[in-house]
Amino acid sequence: MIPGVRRFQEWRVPPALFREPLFRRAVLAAAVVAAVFLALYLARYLGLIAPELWALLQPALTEGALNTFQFSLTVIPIGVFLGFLLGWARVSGLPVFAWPAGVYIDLIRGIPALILVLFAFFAGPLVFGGRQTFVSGVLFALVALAIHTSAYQAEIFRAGFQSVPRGQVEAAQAIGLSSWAAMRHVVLPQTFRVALPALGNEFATVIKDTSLLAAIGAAELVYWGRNSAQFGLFNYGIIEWVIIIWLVIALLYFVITYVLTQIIAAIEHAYRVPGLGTVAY
Amino acid sequence: MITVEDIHKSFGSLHVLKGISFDVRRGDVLVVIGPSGSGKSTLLRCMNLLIQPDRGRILLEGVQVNRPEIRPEWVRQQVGMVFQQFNLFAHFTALENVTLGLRKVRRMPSDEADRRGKELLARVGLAHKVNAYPAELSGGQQQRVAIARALALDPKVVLFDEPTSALDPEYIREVLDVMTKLARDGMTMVVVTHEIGFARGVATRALFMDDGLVLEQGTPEAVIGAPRHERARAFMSKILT
Repeated sequence: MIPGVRRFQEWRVPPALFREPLFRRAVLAAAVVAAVFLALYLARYLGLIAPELWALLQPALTEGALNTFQFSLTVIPIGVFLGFLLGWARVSGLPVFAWPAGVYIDLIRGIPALILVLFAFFAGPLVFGGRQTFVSGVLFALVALAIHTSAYQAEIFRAGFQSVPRGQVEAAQAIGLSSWAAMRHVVLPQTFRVALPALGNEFATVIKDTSLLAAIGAAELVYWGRNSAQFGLFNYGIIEWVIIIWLVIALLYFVITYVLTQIIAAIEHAYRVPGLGTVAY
Repeated sequence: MITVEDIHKSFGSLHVLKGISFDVRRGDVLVVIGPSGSGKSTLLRCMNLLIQPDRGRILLEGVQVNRPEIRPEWVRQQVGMVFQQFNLFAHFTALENVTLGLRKVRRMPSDEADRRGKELLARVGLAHKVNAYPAELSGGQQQRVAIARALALDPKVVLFDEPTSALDPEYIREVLDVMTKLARDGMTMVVVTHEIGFARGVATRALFMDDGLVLEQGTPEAVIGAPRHERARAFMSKILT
């Protein structure tokens, strides 16, 4: 036996850490981010991207991507918080909570997100007495997006709540747990587990809905895409550059969404229950 | 042990229990027999206050427990219940199902609760399934976990709501065996069931219920073998074939 061959075989067995699905997903997500940015910078280094085009791409790659990422990270938690409470209110069985939640959900789902954003941007500071600055307008617009997604998430959470069989609540009460303890230890953990895949879907939508903030001049990806494309077309008149700019923007949206969906998938995996809806992954 | 006095319960215009009275002594195994819709499940749920009766009294060791100043949680800690559909917590292992009450109601430290939980699972013959999730267990195994869960808080009496009705035939035996062992160990039990063999062999007393009323009451032999009411005779002849 040649020692080197054996070592090679040992090496081919993935290390224990890498067999962890959580770790694998983190590596995958980081690799996709790195690959996209590396490919772009490599293309620039090899001279495949003209300096003028590179300058046009710069704001999107830095400020645009960062803002889209930050806007998403602001909207999603507020949306989850509101959506969870609304979903809970809807299944609470108490008309004082269920009824307003139902009206809210129906109303918000019936209004385009763009109109909510515009309305919040202009009316928010006016109504709530804040200073009419651009930043305060954008903050209100972010809240509007959170309100928009919360209506959809409320329905996701409602489905999660309703997926827990009534009998399990009865069983929890039968061993002496209060209804609050039954909710906390029996219902909520299962609600979240059921809601996660649909929530991941909704989060992916939210990331792309932040593009609506371009309409109020918030400097996220679509804002810079439109600016650079128009500026480039006006100054250089090369239509291919417009296409490339939007391709890069699309790629950046993909990267941000991919990282987030990987995080959700990892959480899903961590909370899986053997034997229940088992999909090997 | 447990006394039921003139219990009435209506759901809307549906009068389910129309004045039920009986009493269960320590060590009794009382089987409740009757056609579906006769109010057996509602009666059991009134006994651990999962349902509040409209009228009448439930006494646990001489203390009336269906009073506003008594917390139903306190009553339920002393009255175990096993359900037709098992109702195991799907996101917990067998052991976690059994210890939830110990940890969250009794505030027992985890290691102590685990030790007690493993004892209970061993008692129902599931020492090897401690870490299995409900979805990985057969119906019979799930129901035995549910029995262990009902025993965790050392209840004074355990209520069984048709514990074998949802089981495939091959699993009925193992659940009845566990229940029989429990009865032999002196546990006070109230069992709603159609298992006539269990009623005859294990029960100390029997009730026949129909349409919200107790029609027959006595030894299993008397209630099953020689019922006095026509309705009871008709029902027995149907299930004894």
